[in-house]
Amino acid sequence: MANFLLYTSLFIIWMMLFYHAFLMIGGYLHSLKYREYEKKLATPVEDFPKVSILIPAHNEEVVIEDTIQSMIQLNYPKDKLEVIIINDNSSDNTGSIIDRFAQKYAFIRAVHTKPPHTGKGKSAALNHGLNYSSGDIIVVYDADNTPEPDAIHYLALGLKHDSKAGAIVGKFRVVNANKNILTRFINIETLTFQWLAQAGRWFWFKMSTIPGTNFAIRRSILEQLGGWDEKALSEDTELSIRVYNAGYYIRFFPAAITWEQEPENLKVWLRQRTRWARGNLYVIFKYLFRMHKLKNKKVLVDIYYFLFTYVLFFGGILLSHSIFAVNLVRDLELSIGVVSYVLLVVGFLLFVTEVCLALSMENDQLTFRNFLSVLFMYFTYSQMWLFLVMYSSFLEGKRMLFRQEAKWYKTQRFKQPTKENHSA
Amino acid sequence: MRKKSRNTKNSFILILVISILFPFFFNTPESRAEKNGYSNVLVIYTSSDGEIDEHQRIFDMLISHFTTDVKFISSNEVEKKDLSGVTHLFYYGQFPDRLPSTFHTLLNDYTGSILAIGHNTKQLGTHFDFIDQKNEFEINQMAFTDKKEKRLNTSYGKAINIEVDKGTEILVEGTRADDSASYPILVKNQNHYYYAVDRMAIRETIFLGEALHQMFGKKHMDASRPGYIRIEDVHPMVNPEPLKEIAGILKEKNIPYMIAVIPVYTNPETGEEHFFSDSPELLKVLKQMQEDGGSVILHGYTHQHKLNETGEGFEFWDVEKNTPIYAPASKEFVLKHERDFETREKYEEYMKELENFENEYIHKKVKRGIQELVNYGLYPLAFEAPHYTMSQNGYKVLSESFSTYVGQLQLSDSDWKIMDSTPYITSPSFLKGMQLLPETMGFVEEGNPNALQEIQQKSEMIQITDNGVAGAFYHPYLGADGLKDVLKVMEKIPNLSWIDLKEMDVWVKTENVDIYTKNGEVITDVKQGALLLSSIDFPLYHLKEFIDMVIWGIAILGGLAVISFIMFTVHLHSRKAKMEG
Repeated sequence: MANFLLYTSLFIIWMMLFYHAFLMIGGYLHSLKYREYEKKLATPVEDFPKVSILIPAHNEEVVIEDTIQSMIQLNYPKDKLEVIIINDNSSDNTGSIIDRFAQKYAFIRAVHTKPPHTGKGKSAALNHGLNYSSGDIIVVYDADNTPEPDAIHYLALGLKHDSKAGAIVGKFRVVNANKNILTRFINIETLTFQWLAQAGRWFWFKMSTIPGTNFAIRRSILEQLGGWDEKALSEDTELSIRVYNAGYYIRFFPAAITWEQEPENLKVWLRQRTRWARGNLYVIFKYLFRMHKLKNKKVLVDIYYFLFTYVLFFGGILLSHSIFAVNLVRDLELSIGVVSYVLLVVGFLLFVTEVCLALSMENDQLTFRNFLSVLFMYFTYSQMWLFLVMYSSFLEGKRMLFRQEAKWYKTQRFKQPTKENHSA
Repeated sequence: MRKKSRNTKNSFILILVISILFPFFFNTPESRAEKNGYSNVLVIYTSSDGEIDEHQRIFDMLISHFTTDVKFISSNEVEKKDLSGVTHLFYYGQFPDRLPSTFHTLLNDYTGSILAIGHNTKQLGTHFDFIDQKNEFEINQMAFTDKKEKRLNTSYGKAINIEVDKGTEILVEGTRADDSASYPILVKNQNHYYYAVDRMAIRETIFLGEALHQMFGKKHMDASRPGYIRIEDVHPMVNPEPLKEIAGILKEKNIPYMIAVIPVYTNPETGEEHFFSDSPELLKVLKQMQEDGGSVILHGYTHQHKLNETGEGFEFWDVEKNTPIYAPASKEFVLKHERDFETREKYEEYMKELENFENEYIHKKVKRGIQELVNYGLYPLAFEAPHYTMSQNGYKVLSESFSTYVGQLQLSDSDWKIMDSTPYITSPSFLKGMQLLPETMGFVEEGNPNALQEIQQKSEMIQITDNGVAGAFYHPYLGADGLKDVLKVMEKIPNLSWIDLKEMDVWVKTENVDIYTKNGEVITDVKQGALLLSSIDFPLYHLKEFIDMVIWGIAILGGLAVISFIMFTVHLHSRKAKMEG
């Protein structure tokens, strides 16, 4: 029995590892290729599409000023641009800061949510903001984001030049990567996620997932879909699936870059990631049992991916961890032999080389220090995810069982040094 | 001139043709006679209770080297008609006894060759008037009169003191420790032979065997001596390393050999069973050995019965009770005697039941043993009973599955310790058609400093015979060096020709499995589907093999991915350096 479970878990784990390796190869190929699209957009254009940037803000006084400053720096015709900052139930100075900038700059608009539309989470705030917007292209930024000046240019024109794309997703980088070991890990994680999962899926399947920030979507589609799902905890994943279902794809375009800050302590990290994980679980079960209703079957690739990742992959790892632990105490007569050690080593090396390849796609990221962090990360940060997924599954299971309403935790922000060193 | 030269040529061709055909003319009648059962042997015996016991069986082992047409009839039951067509007559008087009065005239008309052993020769008509039997006396050594330097100790220290008439040839003589005189032991007068012992073990049969070669006119001309080395007790917990080394040595020397394989190892303390499927490394070594010159022989299924260690325990004999296996290991069993029954019929019924249990027990184990090995891709070509213990009934059961038996033979159902070997390859009638490749030289016993010396002595003993088998075995856990020593002893034997089971005519069969040899090749006829369906363990093993292969495939593919990612990283790095440069 123990043997059967071990082999089962190994097959699941390695199926996922090979899928990831396959995606990583796609990411690598995309990193060689995406510049061509970038060049295509560099040619001067006459009619820029009208862009509305939505920035939901709930108690963001620490970061919102930097965010607005970066909006002012954007290289995009200001007459084609509106920045709508949705002050959602803030109890701090967020509202007054926004108002101050709105008075000074014509293209910046402050929207304050009012009861009953107040404090209902990010999706509700975005839907609210959408009502005030007039752009053909809607771009979303989190309140802690500082996009690079060309970001909107690439997002807006990238979408304009690709009629099949319902949305386009840029790349995000971590502002506070060098703050501590946790942010260093997160930096490595986000780069790997984007080059492996986003770029990789885009390259092979013409798919990627809206990450919640630094993406543009056609207004027409949003209206057709009825805006954001206010019950979803990860509104971005959920929206992605509906975009595909509407017959469009989502382009990943790493030329559009934003910088955002990541949790600097474990508590905030855990809370944010629990929300993501629960959100993804919500999406899996929302669509898993309505598969037949999905018009674009390609979405299944993603739903299955999530299903495999959250249910089987973590289940497999959990199982093999437990078998390993039990085997230390009691001989389970495992018959696998020496190949299990080979798999352990190869699995570890696969992790390290994949992550290093992702890091090497950015300037100055594949440093010796980061390399050591990657080695260390495997045994710490990666294992923390295991706990996180278990915890999230428990919470999500409880919610579904007792039909509780999801509560949207806002991620806590950290004040950054005024002079940013972006090359983390 | 021309004519003459043609004549010379013609006569040359004629001589050539004759010389080519001559051996056929010469050999054919005898070999055909042999095939037609021309050597028709009758053994009349006088035993303690009129039944055949170990004494007759040891003679059976010897005589069956020459012909399989052997009939044993008790001196109490033999009739004149039994003698018709007999070409070679034997009388074995193991006990001094008064033979039935018919014996005065019974053999009067018999003119063929005749050999008598032991007592009562005076009652066989006038055939043995050339000897005069006296009392039994002590004899310590025996030797051929023409090769006196090759002496052997007698097994029981006794012989029958005889005096012989003039004109009688003394083939073997005996000597005593206390005087320098020699005494006739095996004598020949025309076509009459007499052997002055009443009990025999292998040493006695060695001398008798050489006389029988004369009697049967089968003096071996080529004088090549068959020999074998058997790697013993290879069970699933055997360390593959020394075995590998041993296989290497034998392969290098180009020596075909046997591997006595036990499919299941039972841990004596926990009762836990280990199978070859748990030892893939060992299995790999065994398959390679089978490929390279080794022939697998089935050495029991577990080599133990109750809770004994594999290789130590007895599988087909209840050593505690000293009976065949008549009850399950878990059941307390006491063998009843005939006196415990009211009638003989009831006793026989009881014994029949016990025998049926034994039949079933042996059949099951043998079937499972063969099938399990075949499922692993190991093809047994013969059988060897654990500790050589097997009841007479057991041999009968075995003979349904095997054509060939390797080792020594238990000769009595009353005590497992009564076992012996015989010098020649033989098919004794109690093996029910199986051919025996006798083990004659023993093994290297752990902790015995004289082990090699003992093997050497036995080697010398067997070399007294013309074509007696030099068979030894070796436990691989003792390491490869010990085997080299044994091989050194064996390789000194002149004209040794290593037995290769694959080159012999052997077969093994059980349900869904048929194995046989043909022109040096092992042919297997296995009903795979039915075999796999017969036990869940069989498909599970193959599934595990497949999974192992897939898992190694995963590891290799993973390794390739790692290498690719390193190469991609280096590529990106150099590309960036170029762009910046």
